[in-house]
Amino acid sequence: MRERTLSVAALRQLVADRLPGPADSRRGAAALPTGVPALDEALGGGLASGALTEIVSAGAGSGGQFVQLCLLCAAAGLGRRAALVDGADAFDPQTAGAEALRALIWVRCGDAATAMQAADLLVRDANLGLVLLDLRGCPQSALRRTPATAWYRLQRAAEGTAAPVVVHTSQALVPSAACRVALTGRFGIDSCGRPRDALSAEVEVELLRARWAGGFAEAAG
Amino acid sequence: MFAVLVIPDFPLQAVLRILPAGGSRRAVAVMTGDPASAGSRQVGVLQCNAVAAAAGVAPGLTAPQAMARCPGIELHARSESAEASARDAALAAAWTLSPRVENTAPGVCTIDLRGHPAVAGPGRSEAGKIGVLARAAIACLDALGLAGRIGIARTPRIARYAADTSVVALRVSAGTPANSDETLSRRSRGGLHEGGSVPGARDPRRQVGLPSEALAKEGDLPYASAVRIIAPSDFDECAFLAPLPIELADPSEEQAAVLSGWGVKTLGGLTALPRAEAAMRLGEDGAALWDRAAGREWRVLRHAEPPRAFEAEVEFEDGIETLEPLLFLLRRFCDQLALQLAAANFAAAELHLVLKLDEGRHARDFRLPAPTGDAGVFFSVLHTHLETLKTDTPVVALRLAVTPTRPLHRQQGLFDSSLVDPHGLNETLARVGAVVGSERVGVPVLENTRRPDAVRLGPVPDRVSWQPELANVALHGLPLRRHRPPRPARVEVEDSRPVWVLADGVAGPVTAAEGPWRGSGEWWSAEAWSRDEWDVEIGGAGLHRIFESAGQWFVEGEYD
Repeated sequence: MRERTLSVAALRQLVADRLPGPADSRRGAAALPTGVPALDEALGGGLASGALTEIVSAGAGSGGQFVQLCLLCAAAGLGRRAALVDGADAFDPQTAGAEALRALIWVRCGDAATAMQAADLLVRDANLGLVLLDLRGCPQSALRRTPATAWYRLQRAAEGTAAPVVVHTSQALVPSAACRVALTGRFGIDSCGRPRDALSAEVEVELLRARWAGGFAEAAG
Repeated sequence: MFAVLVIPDFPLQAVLRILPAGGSRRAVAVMTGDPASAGSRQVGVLQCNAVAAAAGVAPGLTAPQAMARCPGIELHARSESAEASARDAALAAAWTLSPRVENTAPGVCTIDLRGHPAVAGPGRSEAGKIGVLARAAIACLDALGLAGRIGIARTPRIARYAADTSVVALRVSAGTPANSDETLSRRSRGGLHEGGSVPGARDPRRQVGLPSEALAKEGDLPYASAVRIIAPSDFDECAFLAPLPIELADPSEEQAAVLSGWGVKTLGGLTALPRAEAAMRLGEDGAALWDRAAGREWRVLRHAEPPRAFEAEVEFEDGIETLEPLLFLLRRFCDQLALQLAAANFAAAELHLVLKLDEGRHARDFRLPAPTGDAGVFFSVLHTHLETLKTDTPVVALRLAVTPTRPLHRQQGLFDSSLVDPHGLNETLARVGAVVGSERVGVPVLENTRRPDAVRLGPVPDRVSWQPELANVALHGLPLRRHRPPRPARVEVEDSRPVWVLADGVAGPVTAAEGPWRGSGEWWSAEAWSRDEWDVEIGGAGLHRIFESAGQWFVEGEYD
């Protein structure tokens, strides 16, 4: 089994070397720095434009919502309009801060299927500089029913735009993601009283998948 | 110079305009009364299209006679609302030529071109310019579902003759070529021969003195044959008027009988007589008739007021149950309103759509992200909404109104970031709204209260304004992810502090807690609230916010 995995990885590497894909050429060209040092480091400078990035955060205290706000602030800082497709209608503007709300379009969905439809429409709009699809809180059974073709369709749509597309999940889910990272840290109650600026340095990120100039890298998970 | 815009068979075209696409391919006739009334034998055919005419239907036939000759014929009553809408469309097209327009008669607009830059000079180039503008007006009219023709001459009367006698292939369906089955029957004016031309009449393009190369080029232009320009010279006018039938000058029955007795059949025949002699024998009306025949009738135009309200509406004879015919008509309305807005130098700020149903009505207002006069944007906004609309009963009337505003001219701030395509985003959001609900898409706006989750969604601004550092608002701690609504919980309390939490998706001992944070507000209203909040770290389940209100515990969300 291990041999087979290696051979697939070697084949991918070969293809990436000989036929650099569109994601490869875009990688260095445009990236949206997230403002979270660990995430920027894992992503090689920021979110890739025109590609799907999956962020997996397991649950409360992992910093997933905090990272999401950092992305919104980063987009607003560049004057880009961001769309948040909120699959479980869990976003809280009261604790988000004015900067995160400045350029935000909030789409409040009731389930994963409508969230996917809304994201599919938004990704194609040239006015948006960032599209966030937050599927945390959606039932896993519903998410597993999403056909792989839907994810590849989203990826193809994203390739046609200059906007990064981020899918936020609680478990690794997106087969077409160019990059997948997991938030592995756990914030304690002491974080509640600390300035938010100081928290970004404490976010822990693990790179699970990367698919760009360096070729394919498939880590555990 | 004056121009006259004529829409032949106006009642018929007005009705055909509101029929679904392809209506002109069926046999259609407009009746003098309501064909559904009991006395349908007394209802006669007023006008019919070419398909009906080919089957032998003619004006004056009763409804049973028309149906006997053409079993599949559609009989429609004249529609006041359709004619009013068509009149507005004709005026909108006329205003593209000049602001001084008279609504002379149903389907006839007289346009004062004096002082117009395109006709200010006597040369051939000026005539060519106004010809281009006139063809553009005909094209506008065609896009609005009406076929018209324009005559341009020194006086309104000669211009009317030119319009009535111009060669035109009448089209009654936008976007379809002017051929065979789209052609209306030409029975409205007795003086018209087949094809609308008059024998012996000179080629209108020669009358303005265009060189032969230019003539060939002009003839190839779309709608070239629908525009006829009579050069303002006595020779050309006389040559044009002389062969025209005397009926075009609208003689009374008595005058027509006298002239027939004299053997006068053409305008030239009458004007060959001395005016004084004709007046002596026919009276004062005879002199007026002579003036009309000579094209010398002068009158003051009663200028139509530009619309103050930009709206279009129509009632349907039969209720509409499907989307396509509605969209077909809405597209026409959008084009018409865009034309009217452009003529008044306005743009649209909002659209108001009202569908009158068999039972009830459906009304919806659409705020446009930026003022625009683009009919395509109007239509796409309406289309997106109607695609997801379902009504219990058929639509019996349609009304579309526009709130006008001045076109937007402003300079962006140096650091502002505007939208690449505001209307494109509006369209996208409308589509997303159709999926998730229009009230669930927008920009989050915090209410001016401390009540938890007091937030609403507002419209999306057309630019992201630059703001300096917001460092004065220091944020602390992780943001909250809310459970909407809060999840009821069972909480064990010891020494007034929570020690165990059990709720849907959350269960475990409280390993650390901070609080209580007491809050209350709006005690003066029915929405009074009061609560004690705790931030708790639950073993194995992360950070959460719980609160107690009126003796009940809830998990409000998780810090993430």
